[in-house]
Amino acid sequence: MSLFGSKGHRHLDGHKELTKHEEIISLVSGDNMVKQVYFPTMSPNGKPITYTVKEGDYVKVGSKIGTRTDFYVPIYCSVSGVVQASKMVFSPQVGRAIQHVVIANDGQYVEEEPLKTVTLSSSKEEIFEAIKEAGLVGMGGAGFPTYIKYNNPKNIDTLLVNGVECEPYLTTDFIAMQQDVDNLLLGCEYLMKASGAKRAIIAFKVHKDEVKEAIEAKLSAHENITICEVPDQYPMGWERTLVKQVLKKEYDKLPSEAGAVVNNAQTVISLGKVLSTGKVITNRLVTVSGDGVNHPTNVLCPIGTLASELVSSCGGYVEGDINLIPGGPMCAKAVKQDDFPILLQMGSLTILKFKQVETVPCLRCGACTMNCPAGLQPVEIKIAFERKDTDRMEKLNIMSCVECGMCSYVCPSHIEVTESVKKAKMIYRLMKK
Amino acid sequence: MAFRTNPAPYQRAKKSTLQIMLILCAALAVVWLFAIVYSFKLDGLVNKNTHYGLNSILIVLVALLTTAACDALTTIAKHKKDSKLSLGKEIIHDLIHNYSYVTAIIFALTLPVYTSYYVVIIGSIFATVVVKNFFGGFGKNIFNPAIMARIFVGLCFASQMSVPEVLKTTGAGIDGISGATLTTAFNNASSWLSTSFVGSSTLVTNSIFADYTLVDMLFGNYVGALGETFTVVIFVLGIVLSVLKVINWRTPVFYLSTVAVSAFVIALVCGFNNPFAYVLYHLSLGGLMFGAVFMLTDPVTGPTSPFGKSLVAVIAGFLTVLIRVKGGYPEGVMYSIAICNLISPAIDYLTVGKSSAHIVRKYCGIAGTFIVSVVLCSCIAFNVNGGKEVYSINGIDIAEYNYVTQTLGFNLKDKDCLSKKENGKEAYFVVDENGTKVAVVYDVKLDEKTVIVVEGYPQEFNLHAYIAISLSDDSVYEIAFVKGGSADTYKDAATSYVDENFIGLGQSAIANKEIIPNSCGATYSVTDLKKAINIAYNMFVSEYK
Repeated sequence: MSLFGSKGHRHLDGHKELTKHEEIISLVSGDNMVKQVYFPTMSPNGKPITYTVKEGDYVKVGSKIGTRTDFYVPIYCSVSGVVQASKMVFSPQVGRAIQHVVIANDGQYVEEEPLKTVTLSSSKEEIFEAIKEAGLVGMGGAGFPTYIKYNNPKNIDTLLVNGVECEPYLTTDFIAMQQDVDNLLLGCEYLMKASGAKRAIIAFKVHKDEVKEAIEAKLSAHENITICEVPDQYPMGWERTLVKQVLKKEYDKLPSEAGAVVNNAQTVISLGKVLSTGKVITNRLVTVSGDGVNHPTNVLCPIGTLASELVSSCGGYVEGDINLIPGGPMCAKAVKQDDFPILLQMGSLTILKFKQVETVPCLRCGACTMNCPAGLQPVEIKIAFERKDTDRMEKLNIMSCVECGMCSYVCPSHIEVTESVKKAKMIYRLMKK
Repeated sequence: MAFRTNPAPYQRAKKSTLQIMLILCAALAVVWLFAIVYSFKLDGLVNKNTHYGLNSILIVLVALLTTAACDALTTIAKHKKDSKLSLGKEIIHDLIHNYSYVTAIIFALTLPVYTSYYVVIIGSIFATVVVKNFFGGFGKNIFNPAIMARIFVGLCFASQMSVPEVLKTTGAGIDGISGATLTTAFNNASSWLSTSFVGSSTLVTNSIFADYTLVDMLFGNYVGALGETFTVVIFVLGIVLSVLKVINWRTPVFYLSTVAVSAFVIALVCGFNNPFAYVLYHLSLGGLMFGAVFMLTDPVTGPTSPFGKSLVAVIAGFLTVLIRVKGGYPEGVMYSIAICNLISPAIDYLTVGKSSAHIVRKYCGIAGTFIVSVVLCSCIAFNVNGGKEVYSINGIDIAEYNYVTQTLGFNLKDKDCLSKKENGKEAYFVVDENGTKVAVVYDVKLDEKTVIVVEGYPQEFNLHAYIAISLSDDSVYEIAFVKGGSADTYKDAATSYVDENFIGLGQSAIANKEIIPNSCGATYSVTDLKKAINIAYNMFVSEYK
């Protein structure tokens, strides 16, 4: 396989030690309490989100204030307070400033009536409806609505819980999995029921001994749940790589072809929490890390908190130019302002000192091809892009690219290969329409 | 402070292209060091006021300086006034990042130690300017500059690179080579299929190899191009470079294994007694190892995918063996790599889709190419040997061969040996269409010719060796060698006839000890040969009657 194929994953310097054992800062209450939270009026794919509240309305923690129009995903308020005039605020998902609903935090955290709870003995359909109503999206970063994976699943054998967290700097899964083992295991049981999976595997990287010990201590009551330690390599947390590593299976489009359904660990934890208590997720843990921030640590904040508040709670930026990355340093793209709100799927802010990359010509070494997790030939795609040759792009399976950043990472000539492939995908989409 | 929005990812691997090139240079420097040591040793052996040690250093330095000058001039020529960098900075950037120093060292190491400096300079200019910079500099060139430059000077300045007299006549282990180097001693179409590989238990006792052991060959204890002779050293460097991921291990592994397996099968097909040694000769002689580690692995001119790299290596291995066994050059390495440079873009174009897809097809493709290469090579080798019986080399059957070697300790040589000046004796045995046979024995050392006419098998006439040349219609299709025997009576008449009448050969050629150069071409006519045979035959008949 690896003789002519790509290895597809490699070890990166994780820098996890920066925030792994640091004390968590809370923006939910106390001195640093957030004054305002922001909710975007547009989903990441550009479809509008409709809000049922208007300026001057009073909302509580857990109030349903709107829904997405592309998929049914309810939006819940993360604080209690009065709705303010909407504001134009930058959205890294959409890529420009869009209207946001603004809610002033009164600091009381008055709670709304909890949602309908379900138990493990509830029917598959009831659990599905509960997942749908929970308003959860993939908390690993993708933001894909969780319930869609459980809409009438077939031939699912394994629930794979993804606690790999392969992007450098990120440590929220590590912390959440240690802190909330009960909800993690409970979430697994719910999802196994919903998907019909016979077993659940919780995957995380080796050397996460704290997580391993915490889970193993409570695993005896759950005979269908096992843990699996995967190598410390990137992008081990990508669905396809993880399924291949853990289940030794490959699939074409969706992991269900390999009999698996994959969910992020924090999504599973949140699900366990919501389904058993009826309280929706209003806060999330965010890693603020990198050499561009003075005191890297994890921050607990209400959904909708501005990134700038997280950064200032971590001691602000260091001197000089920086890259502010809403996400991990491999996949996410740096943004040019820090006044954007943290959404449910955003687990990190990576802030790095800006480093000038000096590019030399491609020596055609094939390192990108050798390391591509999707098994593509980035150097050939780059050449096709330079020639605007969409037929060639198609033959090179360009749309299988997940923009993991591996090709640029390994390139000894420091060429922005990933950027070229991204642009090629854009051109391909436009020209093929 | 400013938020920068340069593209993702923001974390990069530490390995850089400059680093790769510097490690490569370090490996080449090791080879160079061995070349310097050997060249100084050669000075001592030759003991005739030569400066090979100094040459080995200067050739590389001259190549380095020339390429640097060429790069600087190219930069000056293409410099634009509105460019961000100043001219000086741009020159320094190009000197470092055009990586011509790697080209220069590789090119210099493929040259023999006695190469004229102006050949080095011309080759370096050709490599840098024509092959590299005309195509757009590093990363854009189609051909490996070092290889193209070596081929260029090899074709244009062959005479400037031939072995000087001192190396031919003096020094242990280096006399008796009639070609430029040991490699070019193979400069015959079928030398790799030479009878010298047959039957001898001590591997090779042919005069080409007589003075060299396999150990000499493996450790570079012979005159050759500067860097290519140190097979074992280069092999070890290849392993180190592969582990450091400076070169892709697939390329040398597939290349060397194709050559090795093809050679082994050829040895079996041709009935060579020691196939393993034959394989080692193939691997150790000439620039094969150097080419495998330093030239074929050049990423710029090769395919990018692992599959493409493997495929091109198998094809290069096949071409190398093909050129060695069947082509007009003893060294197939450079030409095969140049041809593979040419087909690499096509392989890249055809290698599409995901690497995980068509895995079976890819394995089949490589295995198929590999098997076809080996089979083709052995078929060609077999065809050279008549294609009829395995136990016959160049028309000599094994019984005749054994007779010669066992009785006389004289190795049969193939027909091409006729063009060579060898130690000891050579003889040519001719059979015309009526079955008449005449033997011409030539003693190189004494410069004596003996002509005898024989009939039937050599044993009957107490000849020492036998290979047949037959005349049929107007073509010579078989040539024989005979050693020993003498018949002074016929000698003068036949010799003088040969001397006088062999058109195109004439006195001067004979004075140069170039008896009958080879069996083809218009150097002498069949009719003349027939006449010679008849005169000798008639004298022979009258004597014995």
